[in-house]
Amino acid sequence: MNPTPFSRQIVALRRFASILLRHPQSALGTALVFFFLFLAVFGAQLAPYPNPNDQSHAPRLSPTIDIGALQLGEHPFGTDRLGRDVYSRVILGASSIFRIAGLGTVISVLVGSAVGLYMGYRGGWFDELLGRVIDALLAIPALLLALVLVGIIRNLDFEIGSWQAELADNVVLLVIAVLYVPVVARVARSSALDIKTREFVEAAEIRGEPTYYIIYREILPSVIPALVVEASLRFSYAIFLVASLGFLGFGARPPSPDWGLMVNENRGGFYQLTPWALDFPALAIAILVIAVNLMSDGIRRAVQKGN
Amino acid sequence: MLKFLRRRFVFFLFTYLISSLMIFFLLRVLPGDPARVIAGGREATAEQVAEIRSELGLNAPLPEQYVNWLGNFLRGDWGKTIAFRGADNRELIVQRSVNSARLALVALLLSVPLSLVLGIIAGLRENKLPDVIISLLTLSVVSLPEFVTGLFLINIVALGWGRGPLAEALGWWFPSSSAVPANASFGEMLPALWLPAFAATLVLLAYISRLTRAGVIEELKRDYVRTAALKGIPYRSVVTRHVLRNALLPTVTVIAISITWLISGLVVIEYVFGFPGLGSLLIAAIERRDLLLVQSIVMVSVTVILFTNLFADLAYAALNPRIKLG
Repeated sequence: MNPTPFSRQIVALRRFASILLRHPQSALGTALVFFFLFLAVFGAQLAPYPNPNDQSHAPRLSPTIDIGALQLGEHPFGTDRLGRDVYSRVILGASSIFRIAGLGTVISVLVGSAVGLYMGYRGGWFDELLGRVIDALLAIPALLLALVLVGIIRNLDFEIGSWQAELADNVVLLVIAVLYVPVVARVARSSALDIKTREFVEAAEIRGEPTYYIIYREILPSVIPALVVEASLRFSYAIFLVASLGFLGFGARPPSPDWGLMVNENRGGFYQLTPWALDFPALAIAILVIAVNLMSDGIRRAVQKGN
Repeated sequence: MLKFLRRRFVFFLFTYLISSLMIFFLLRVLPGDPARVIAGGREATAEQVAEIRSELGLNAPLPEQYVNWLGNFLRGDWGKTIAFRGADNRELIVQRSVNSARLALVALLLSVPLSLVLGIIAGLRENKLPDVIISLLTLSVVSLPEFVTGLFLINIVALGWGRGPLAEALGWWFPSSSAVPANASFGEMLPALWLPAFAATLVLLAYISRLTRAGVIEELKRDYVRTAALKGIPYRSVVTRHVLRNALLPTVTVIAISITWLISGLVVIEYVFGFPGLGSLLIAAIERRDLLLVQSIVMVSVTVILFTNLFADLAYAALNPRIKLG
């Protein structure tokens, strides 16, 4: 056996990172994503007013940010019509979008790859049937399904504090996880179909290894690059979807500092009063979405080159 | 060819069956009683709920309910809406679909020619300045959510430029989409269509032009291009007669995919612009808990998508004799 079991992975990871960061666009995207991740984790410490619903300020104050002088001022992004500090709310809003899109992606990738790998390895009628069902599911646009699902689940009455109510509070996260399972499963399945004809899988079968061992130890390592690419793509779509659902009023409920919701709350007639209360969260969404796309583009390129 | 057609058709029917099953059971099987929701939630009395249950046929076994529902849908009997007093679901959906189709048509007419031109330019000048500029622009636009571009356009055109002759001229050219009556004729509606159509165009533009660019680049590397060039055929006619003809073939499929894509994109765009289309109707129906209307809208969208995909597959097979029809 290899004396340092992780050294090979570390070398591969380093190589991957160096290819990713060599390309200026993907390096910028990755840096920005990590910047927002930092905000998401340490938002409560970084925001000048850690309570997003602190209404103690004067309403409708103009932004005091001075980019030329590198000064933030008292209310860098101004205050909204209820007297809440927009800068703090934008910082605090990073955590929910990362939590929902990130966890949703992780769940869908884990479940989807388990389902897809099993389908691809097992083959036969099981694979055929489930494959057709997946194709059919993918015919319905994700946003429509998400709207319908979120709309229904949120309108159900649950006892406050029960586990159903807990789930209903995280409905967007769950919907994202559920929606992307078939997509990931399809990718994992087609990769598994390719790998399962290789000699090392045949060797394991001849040794009499159980199915889960063959899938987990023999097939999975070879399909991880494809899954990494798919996961990063899913994450960028998930960010997009969370922002859109929040904007349509199907995400976080007021008064939470969700970016999409903030954009929706301050549009129309309110935009003339406090344009900054819309502009800054919209800008945050735009930058994050573009950054995530650049990063996932770079991850795809790096994985292709690494192979 | 016949075998291919048969396979495609069987898949079409199967997909239709699965999606209708899912749409039906999602709205019925989930915990919570639709009759109670319709009757007004917790305040409703048991009699009211029971009355609505029998009215909607909710007392029958689920499979029977499904068959009834699908049969009614296919016959065109989509029931009455609860959310919009007195209206018939079908009339409402047909009217809103026509509006959405107008918006989609304007968006496609704007975006397809423009994105093909941009994609071809970028593909022919791979990694040169025009390509870099076009790729950067499309890459950043493709990733922006529709509501960000939509609001940006609204705020620039409607509000951001303040008062004065320019703003007045713009207001005349781009009247607010929400002021349009839902039953306006195409001519009356057209001025209000430009802005939402432009928002949809930006999204489609990025998408179609990137695919066109990739097609042109791939085609330029083929052997026959080199042979034609060595034969002394001018570059211009190699490109127009050979490369573009082959590179643009997949565009049929791309347009079909963009229609699928438009259907979800339009939900957001119609909501942002307050445009009376199918997407804004869907959101209103979900918000007002009109389950039957929601089911019908989603079924209509799925029908449109499946027919578009079927048509695209057939057109692609007809245009490209090399495709494997097995």
